[in-house]
Amino acid sequence: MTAEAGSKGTPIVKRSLFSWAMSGKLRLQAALVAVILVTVVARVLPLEMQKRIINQAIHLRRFDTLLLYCAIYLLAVATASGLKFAINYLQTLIGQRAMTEMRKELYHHILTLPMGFFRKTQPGMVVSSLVTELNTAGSFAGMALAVPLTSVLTLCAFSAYLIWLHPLLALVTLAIYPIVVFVIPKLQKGANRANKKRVDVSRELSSRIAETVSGIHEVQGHGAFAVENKRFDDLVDRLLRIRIVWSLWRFGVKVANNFFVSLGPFIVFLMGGYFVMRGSLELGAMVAFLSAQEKLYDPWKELIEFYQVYQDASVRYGRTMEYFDVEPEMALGAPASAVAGRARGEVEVTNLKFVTEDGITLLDNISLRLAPGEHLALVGFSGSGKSTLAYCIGQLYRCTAGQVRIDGRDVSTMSKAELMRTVGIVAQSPFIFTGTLAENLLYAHAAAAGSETLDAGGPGMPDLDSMIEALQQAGLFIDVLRFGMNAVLPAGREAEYDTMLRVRRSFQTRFGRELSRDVEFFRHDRFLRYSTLAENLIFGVPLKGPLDYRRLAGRGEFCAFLQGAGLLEDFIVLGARLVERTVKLLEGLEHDEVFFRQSPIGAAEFGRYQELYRRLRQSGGEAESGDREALLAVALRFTPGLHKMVSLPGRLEEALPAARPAFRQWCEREFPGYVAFYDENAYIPSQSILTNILFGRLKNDTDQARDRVTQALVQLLIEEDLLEYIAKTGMQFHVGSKGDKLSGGQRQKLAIARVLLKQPKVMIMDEATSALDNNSQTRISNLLARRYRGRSTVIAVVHRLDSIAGFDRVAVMKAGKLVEIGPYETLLRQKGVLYELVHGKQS
Amino acid sequence: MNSSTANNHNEPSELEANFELLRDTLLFSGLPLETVKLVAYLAVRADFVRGEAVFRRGDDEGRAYLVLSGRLRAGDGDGPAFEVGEGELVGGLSLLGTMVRRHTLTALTDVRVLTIDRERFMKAVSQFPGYREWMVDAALRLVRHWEERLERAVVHDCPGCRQAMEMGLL
Repeated sequence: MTAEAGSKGTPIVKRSLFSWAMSGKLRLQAALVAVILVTVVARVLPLEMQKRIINQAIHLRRFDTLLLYCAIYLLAVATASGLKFAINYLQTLIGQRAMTEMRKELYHHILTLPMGFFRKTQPGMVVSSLVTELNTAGSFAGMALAVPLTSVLTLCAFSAYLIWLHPLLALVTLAIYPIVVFVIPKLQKGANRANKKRVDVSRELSSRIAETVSGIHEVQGHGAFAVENKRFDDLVDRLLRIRIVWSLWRFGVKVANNFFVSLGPFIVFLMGGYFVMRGSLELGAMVAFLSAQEKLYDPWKELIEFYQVYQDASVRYGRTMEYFDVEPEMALGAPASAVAGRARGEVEVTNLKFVTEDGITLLDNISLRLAPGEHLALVGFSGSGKSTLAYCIGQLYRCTAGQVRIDGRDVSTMSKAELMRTVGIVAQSPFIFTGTLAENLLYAHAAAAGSETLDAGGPGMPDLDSMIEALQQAGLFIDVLRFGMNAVLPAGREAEYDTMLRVRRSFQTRFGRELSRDVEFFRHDRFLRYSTLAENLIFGVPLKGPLDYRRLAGRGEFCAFLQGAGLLEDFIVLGARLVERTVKLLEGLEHDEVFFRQSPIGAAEFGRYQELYRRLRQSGGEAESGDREALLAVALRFTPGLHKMVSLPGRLEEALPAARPAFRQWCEREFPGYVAFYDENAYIPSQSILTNILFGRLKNDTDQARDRVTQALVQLLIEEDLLEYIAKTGMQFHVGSKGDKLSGGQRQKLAIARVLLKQPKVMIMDEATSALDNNSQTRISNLLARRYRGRSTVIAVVHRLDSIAGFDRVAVMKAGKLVEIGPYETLLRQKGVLYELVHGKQS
Repeated sequence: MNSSTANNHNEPSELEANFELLRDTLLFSGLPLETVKLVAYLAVRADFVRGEAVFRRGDDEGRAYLVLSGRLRAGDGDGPAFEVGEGELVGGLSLLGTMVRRHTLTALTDVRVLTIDRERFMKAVSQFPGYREWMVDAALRLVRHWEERLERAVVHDCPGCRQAMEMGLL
């Protein structure tokens, strides 16, 4: 299919640089022209005043005339300055708008480019194009009309004034400029050549950096520092040479220009002086002439600079647009297309062929037909072309020859929007975007519905029930509930606090005994291994204020209390030991969150504690007061059940529970109201819903332990009618950058859920359950077989053969060819390729 | 005060105990001790009650388990089963890559294990520059060990098995 140029006419990558300055900004430009015209007059006026001040006021000794002319002079200069400000403002407005438009449109264009383009393009390249390369083009768009117009008009006005003053002298001085116009472009050409090279090398450099950074594990893994450094250094050196050459040319332009222009006054002095002596020129006129001549220089310089910016901008702009001048493979079309409503989901593939750019045939003459609602499993060895076939059907890849039809329509003639309403794709390693879980869940649906926002409950968006259903079907619901329970309720929700307290009591009565091996309940007379030492002493949590965790160790009164209770030195010794062990263990490792999850020292403060450890070693273990505070802070955070580098000193295990009453008394005396003491009948606002219901903490973070506790909680939440509320809270969970707070299985389930939510007529699943455990895989297979057979056509690339019996038909691929297709049992009876795959090759 | 001479810390920490247990296992030989220590740090202890399944046939939960106490049974109900006890490491290959369980592992008594998942393990191991080579070695070592055990256990009584086994490994 040939790409449509789009409804707006010229595609973005073919637009000229000037078009950005004009289209949609005609009013601004007109305003600019008007301001410029006034400015030019305001600039010439002072020259005439200069002449008159000398010739008429000073010469004839007329003071009132002097005042008048000076006033006019001042007014003109003030007006010119004010107008200059207005011009700059308008220019910036136009330039920034143009750049914003360029960025937006280019980004929109890039997202539609074919997958093949992105396999060859480094993300860094796209980033630098969008972020830096377009800047100059933008500022140029602002100048495009303003600067040449102002400069040319000013030049003309001054020239005309000069000619009016003394035609001969004027013509001689102005004769310099044609020479400049001849010389400058020659020099500029050299600058352009260097600039083009500079853009290319800079781009290579960005790609290099992006590649090294994303492959840093390989670099460090192989210790390939020398290789990478050499590659990078070579590029940087090349860039240095190019930049120097480029700068030389640019300075050449400036110097040449300066030289020629400075010849002007020389001519005026020589010739003008001669004319004054001969009496054919008045002295005042010569002063005005000199001023005007000098003033010619400014607009001229601006013109030359403009010329340079223009050259630079067009090189950058041209290079950028050229790079992205690839046609999208399909029209995007209006999202709210009505066709999909009538989709049935019949899929027909005829003589499909896919050949890579290197000439490797991945799919060879594939033909198959799926009735609406039929389920097909694609199996075969890796590299047999299963995924390629699935992606060709979903139009992520464009086939080289042949056709894919959905409901009798050639998919290559369908717009992307139309296709996406009919087809849902779950990729093998799905991409999850930064944001909340709900936003990711609504992603496919919102796109298909043409919505630009990801708000649940917006027009055309699914309701909470459908979202929960999709999560349940994909097996992610329990996880979402867990996220919900780990959330902290906002302050002041008294009614909800009461409900949670009710759940806490039911939990205690019904599951307290059974789950005591998984949960460490808050008991006032026991040491809590899964709480921090601070919480162990306080038996509660500090609220915001003088006792909050960040300030506690630095608070003199608190240290005095510890001293009085005979605990301070134990804490400091423990802190020092924790710092020593942790620093030794984690020093030199990459700063990965994984290493810090079980560490009392966070990644951000690790460097500080490294220094502290070094100081401690040098001083033989004597800590200064600032360091003592830092050691105490670590000790207060120490959670014996989690931080395993140091064992809990037996003395503290006994002393902390014993010190609780004294601490409470001290606290109520010194800082009343700044601590929430644990109380079975009170909600703890700063803690998660889970901690509040359990009135304790989970001991082991294993799947089984979490499952047991979750099961019990779900039961109670259903009884209290809180399930939806918790689910809704859980959907607000932030999945982290690229979803890194989710496990591989959770990411895959989320990708399945977002496609299920869309309810597409055709579902393409590329090993969509490969990261899931056995139970989840089986559940999803059953779900597809029971709920979606006859409703949605499914094409699933399947790696594990034990789950294909539930499909209507199985297609077996081998080396890009479809070798067998038919119902599972039939194919097994035939004892062909599928039989071999399932039972192994029989010798 | 001198932290290293403080005398109320004589009891070894859990990390040290884990490290002592892991450093002698077959899987981890060849790894620098600092790396084994990091693995010991990232590993966690977990408890299973009698009758509870640690993993099921067909799972790929991506974990290895070192049995600290108790006994477990690996099997899938009807087929042959074997028992695992204190000090034995189960599922080492799972740490190196995708490994679908061929058996269900069930606790015969109350069991305590030390366990680590693939993601954390790889993070720890990848800090050591030669880890790729080490991974291939480790996989081969486990296969060789398995081969030897298989040979001792079944091959002597079953001539056909020997042939099948050699075919499989060739």
